[in-house]
Amino acid sequence: MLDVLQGTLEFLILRTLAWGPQHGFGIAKWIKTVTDGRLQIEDGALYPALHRMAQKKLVAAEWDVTERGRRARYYELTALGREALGAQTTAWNDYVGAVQQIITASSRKPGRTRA
Amino acid sequence: MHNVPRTPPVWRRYLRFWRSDPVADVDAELEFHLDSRIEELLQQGLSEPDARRAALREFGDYASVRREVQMLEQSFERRRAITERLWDLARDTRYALRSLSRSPGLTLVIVLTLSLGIGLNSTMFSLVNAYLFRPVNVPGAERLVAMGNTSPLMQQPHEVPYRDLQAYRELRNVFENLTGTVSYTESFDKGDRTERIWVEHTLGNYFTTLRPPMALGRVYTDESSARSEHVVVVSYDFWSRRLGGDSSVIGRPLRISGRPRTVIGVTARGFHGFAPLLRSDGWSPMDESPAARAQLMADADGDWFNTYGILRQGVSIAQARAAVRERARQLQQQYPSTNKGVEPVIVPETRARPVITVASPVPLMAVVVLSLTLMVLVVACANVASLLLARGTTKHREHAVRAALGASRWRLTRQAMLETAILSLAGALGAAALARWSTTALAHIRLATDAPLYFDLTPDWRVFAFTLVTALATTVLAGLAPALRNASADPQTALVAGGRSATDRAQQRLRAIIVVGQIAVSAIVVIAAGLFARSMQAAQKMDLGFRTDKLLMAQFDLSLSGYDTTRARAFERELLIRVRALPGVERAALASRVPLGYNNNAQRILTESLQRDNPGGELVFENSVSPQYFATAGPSILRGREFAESDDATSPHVAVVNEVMARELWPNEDPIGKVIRLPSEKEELRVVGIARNATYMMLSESPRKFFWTARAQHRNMSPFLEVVTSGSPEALVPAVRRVARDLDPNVPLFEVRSMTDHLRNGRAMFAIRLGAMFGGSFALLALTLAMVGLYGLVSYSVSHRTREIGIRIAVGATVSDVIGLVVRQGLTLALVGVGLGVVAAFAVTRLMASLLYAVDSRDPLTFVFGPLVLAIVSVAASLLPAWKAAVMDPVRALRLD
Repeated sequence: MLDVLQGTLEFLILRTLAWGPQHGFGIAKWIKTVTDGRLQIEDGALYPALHRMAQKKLVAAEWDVTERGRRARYYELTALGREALGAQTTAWNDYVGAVQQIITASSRKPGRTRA
Repeated sequence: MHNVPRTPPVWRRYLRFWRSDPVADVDAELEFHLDSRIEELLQQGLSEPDARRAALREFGDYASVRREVQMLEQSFERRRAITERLWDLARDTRYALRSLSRSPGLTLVIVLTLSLGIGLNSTMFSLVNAYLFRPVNVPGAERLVAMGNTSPLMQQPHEVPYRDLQAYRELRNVFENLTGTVSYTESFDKGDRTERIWVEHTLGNYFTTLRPPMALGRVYTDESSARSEHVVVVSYDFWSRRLGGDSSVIGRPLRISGRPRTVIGVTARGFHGFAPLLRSDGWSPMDESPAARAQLMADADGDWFNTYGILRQGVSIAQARAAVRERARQLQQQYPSTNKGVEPVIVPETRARPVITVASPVPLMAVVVLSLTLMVLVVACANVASLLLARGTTKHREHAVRAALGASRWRLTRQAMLETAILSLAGALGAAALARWSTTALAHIRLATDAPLYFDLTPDWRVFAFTLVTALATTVLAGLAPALRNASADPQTALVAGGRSATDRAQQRLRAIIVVGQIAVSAIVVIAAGLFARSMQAAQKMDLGFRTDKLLMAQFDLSLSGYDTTRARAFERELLIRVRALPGVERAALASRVPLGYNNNAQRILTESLQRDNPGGELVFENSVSPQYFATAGPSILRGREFAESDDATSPHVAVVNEVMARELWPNEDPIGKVIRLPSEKEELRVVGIARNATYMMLSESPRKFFWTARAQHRNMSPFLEVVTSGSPEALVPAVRRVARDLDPNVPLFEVRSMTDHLRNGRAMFAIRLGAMFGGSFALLALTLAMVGLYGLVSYSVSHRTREIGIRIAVGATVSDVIGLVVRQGLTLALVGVGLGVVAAFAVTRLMASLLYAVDSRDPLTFVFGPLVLAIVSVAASLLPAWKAAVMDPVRALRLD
């Protein structure tokens, strides 16, 4: 299982919220479901990240009531957040592509530079 | 064990009503997460404790997450609150500016009124600042002190003799150093002509003690004076004006008073010595060679020094005072004949301006003047408050609508205060412009003297801070009442009644109170000004004991032109003969001093009776005069005779004494023929006449001993010519100047003016004259402002009673009935205000008693006349609106609304 870096967490949250407004618990649950729990994220780590993002205005937070009648803090992507998601998706794709290439090319040895 | 979250206390929840509570919010959010997870796990069949444990494990470190998020939220909340407040302010400012620009006329009137009020205060504070606060530009200025002596001869502190100064200088544990200086007029020989300049003769340590900033060259030291070096440090102004700003002047000799003195340095621009009124041209070390020093030490009545010192770090003025007093006691024992009853005075230099001799009333004068100007500001603020209230009425509906839409009362108040603050700041800007102009004008107030007077009123940070604080105070003073009043508008009444009725009446009452208040305050100002004016009047009418009208005076100094005694006597004799021959001249004489002038001379005298009590003799003020002096200018001779041509250098020396001296020295005896000895001279004086008592030094002095000696029998090179004219004294100035020039073009006349001018515009009445002048203008301003206030209120109330007055006219009220009705209203307010003002003035004018001359601080005439003027002007201010009301067309008035 992979340890998730701070930036990754932010991307995951943005990605999750792209489906619609969600509270912290929902976000954690969605990430777990989608990744089959392969990313080991402590639930608690989500909250500082969410609040930082709210302050950066990537997400907007608002209190609302759940279907079951409890008050919960819902997060929603802002325009700025959507923009960031687009940019980060591209960046991740590039990154993943690059890592993929490295993995597939791993049979070849790195060539020596001619003098 | 994990930190299990607790529910927050209930009260926390209510905090949200007025602002979000980040701590509670974070708790709620995290709890929701845990609860949701626990519920899920319970559904999966876990037991309650297991589910909770599992949820917490998955969550991670609950406490640290909670802390981190809380901190994030709190800092964010703080930042947000600040930004929000700034945005509010910006929005309110924009709103206020727009609202002000919608009534430009009113805004202009308010800003001008405030500019006037604040500007007056800034101007007067600039003056007070120059006298009391601004430090001199020398290092350690906060430890700079001035010293003086009081003695039985003079109760005001006066300058310190050399011997005492040297004794105090030895107090090295108190003073870093102590130095002394005496200002002299000298002649500056420019080759083609001579000019009179002011040179300070100082102890050698003057520059090393006070370390004023220098522009060029070096300074002199104790060694310079010990070697009797003939050097001079000149002021920047003298250097640039007279020496052409030439830096090669250092090392060059100048001819000053006929002797060469080498220029060694130039002080930095802006340093003119310590007396803030007098601009010194140069500084020279006095001769302190062993021989000269011995003479200075022996002559305790000789040169008297303006004394300045720098206290050692950490020594308080009280400690210094104690040390100096102790040393003075030793001096009294050591030199009883000269130092009996001599007490030193030591004060911070800022309390010794312009010179220690006359500085004591300055703080009180400052308090009185600033109090009066603040009162004028209060009256001005009252007008502004009235205008804002009246404007509030028209904005009433707007406020009501905003209140109905949910703007808080606080918000509306703040909004209104912001408007006033903007007006006040604009007023402060106007005030700064006004003060700039008026301080320049003030700096040019003429004092009748040829001395190079100079008054630096340039504003510094203190003036700036004062102006700003005044503007803030103005905001509260003028803005608070209208703001609260307008914000308290009850939306319902205001909207339903269309902005009239009950609230209106309450507002009328508030404005009436304001007008009564401003009339009361202006009554105080008018009465205070009246007292100053009466004082000035009394001083001018006072019998000084000598001739004051149709008398011309002019001074010359033969020593500056290198005369010896013989030539000087010949010059004086010839001058008198020629002046007396001029058409329009009735009599002429010479005297070494004029009454109430800038310098005096005291002689130590001995008589048989004095010798018994005080072997050292007693200091008595003296004037040495020519024949016909008493007939020309002096007090009248009561018994005996005055000096005659026969009292010359070869005949027995003679004196005339005044009544006090005659009575005190020879009680129950005939003073004529009695002998006075002067320890400083060989010859004895024989009393030949008794003259009336007169005023010599200052207007408030009580009769004191005084005597006159014959000029021909004493050495004095710088006399005043005094001429009695048949017509206007000023008309004779050219003729007298011509006579002097014909005799010797190198002897310039200075201080040429009539005695009336000398008295009215000279030193003697300077403070009273300033008081009367300032007081008069303050009173005029306060009165005008108060009357504008009264006029505004009466007009306003007339406009609201249009209907009522219309009915009255319709049922037969005559013009005079209506006028009476309206004027009565104005006069009632005025009388209440004046009444209050008189009572208050009665209590406060006592504080200015010591500044008044020959007038009681409860002078009945002032207390009757001042209020009377106010009452009359109040009637006048009510008459215009009354007239308008009386001549209106009742039909139109009734159709109104």
